Amino acid sequence: MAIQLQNLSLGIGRFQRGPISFEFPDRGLFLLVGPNGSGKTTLLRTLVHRLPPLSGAVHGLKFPVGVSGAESLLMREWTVGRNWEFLSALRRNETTSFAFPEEMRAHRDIPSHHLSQGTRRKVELSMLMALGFPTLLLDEPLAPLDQASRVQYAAALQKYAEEHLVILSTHESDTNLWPSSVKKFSMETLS
Amino acid sequence: MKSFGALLKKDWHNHLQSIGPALLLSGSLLLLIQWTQSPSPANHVAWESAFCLSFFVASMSVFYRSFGQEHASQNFQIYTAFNIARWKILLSQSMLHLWTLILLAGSTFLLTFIFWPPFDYSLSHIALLSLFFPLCLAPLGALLGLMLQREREFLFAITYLPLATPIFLGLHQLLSQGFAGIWLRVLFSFALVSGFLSFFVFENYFDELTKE
Repeated sequence: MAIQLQNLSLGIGRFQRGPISFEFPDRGLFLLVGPNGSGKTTLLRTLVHRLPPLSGAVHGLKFPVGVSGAESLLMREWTVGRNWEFLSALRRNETTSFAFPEEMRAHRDIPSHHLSQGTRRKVELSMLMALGFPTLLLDEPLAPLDQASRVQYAAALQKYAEEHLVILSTHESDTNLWPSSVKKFSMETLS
Repeated sequence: MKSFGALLKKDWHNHLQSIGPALLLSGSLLLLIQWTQSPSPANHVAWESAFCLSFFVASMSVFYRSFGQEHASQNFQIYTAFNIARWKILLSQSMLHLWTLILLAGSTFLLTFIFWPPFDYSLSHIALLSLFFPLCLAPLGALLGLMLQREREFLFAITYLPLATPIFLGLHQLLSQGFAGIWLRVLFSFALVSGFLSFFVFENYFDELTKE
């Protein structure tokens, strides 16, 4: 089912954006594009109930959803492998089993707080895709990655979005990573 | 139920790390009380009081470490995103608290026997209390552990103390005035009340931790 934003006003304190009325289909890739402070993160946080909407409503978003943002998905003291066991067991409630992402095998025994920011983000993105969430909400997922990894993960996310819904925030300067066919939602159009 | 197993495993790991410091704390407190007692036998601290005091403080150190992993990683919102039922999170923490507190109660009783000889209390009663008393505190401890993640220590004084004090008073009565049935019923009532209360309050505090 599509996710509908119905006259959604969002914000925190004096920072307010909206109202937004928009509909995301149940699969595909959507970019929330805008400069710092335009409300991309606020919108994503409102979608996952971390911030209450100021008015309006979000309909059709079903949990569980895969999220990635400024806060890490991984327990700091645990190795990547142990984090995977934990997260995949939490997720296994509804589907059968998930395979550890092969591209992360080299990092399996490393405690997550020893990983660089870029590697940690790659691990998180690989895990989220391997866990097969119907919806991924990603806040600037490619920001800490090097150029080669950005291209690699942009392609992986596009492929993932053929069967799932991926909503991610990004800056205007990074939109060249994505084909022109990818739908964009400009946060600057919001007051 | 696999998600519950994952939560139990995570909490088991956390509690394994907290039992050692808690035991050291209760042992140190018992020693301190014993060493600083008045030389006059009339003013000696009773072993029941020493046990209650050391267990109270040591159990706090266990509760403080609840949700330590999540707090260090700031990822409470994962549970919301993954749609994990709150009761599973509370039950997992409470079960591991129960296990840790039973171990702590048994060990503290043992240390009390050593420091306050001779000991003439029924061992079967001690064993029963070591099981039953932690049952009253375990859900409250999980709730307290969650509340403390937001550095709101004042909640400790205004919510945990009023709820836990009757449990400790009941324990003290059972230890000092014999194994009377009325106090067992009081403890049993508190086990039920604290369980239900923790269940309902836990969700509110948990939601608060996932929000900004």
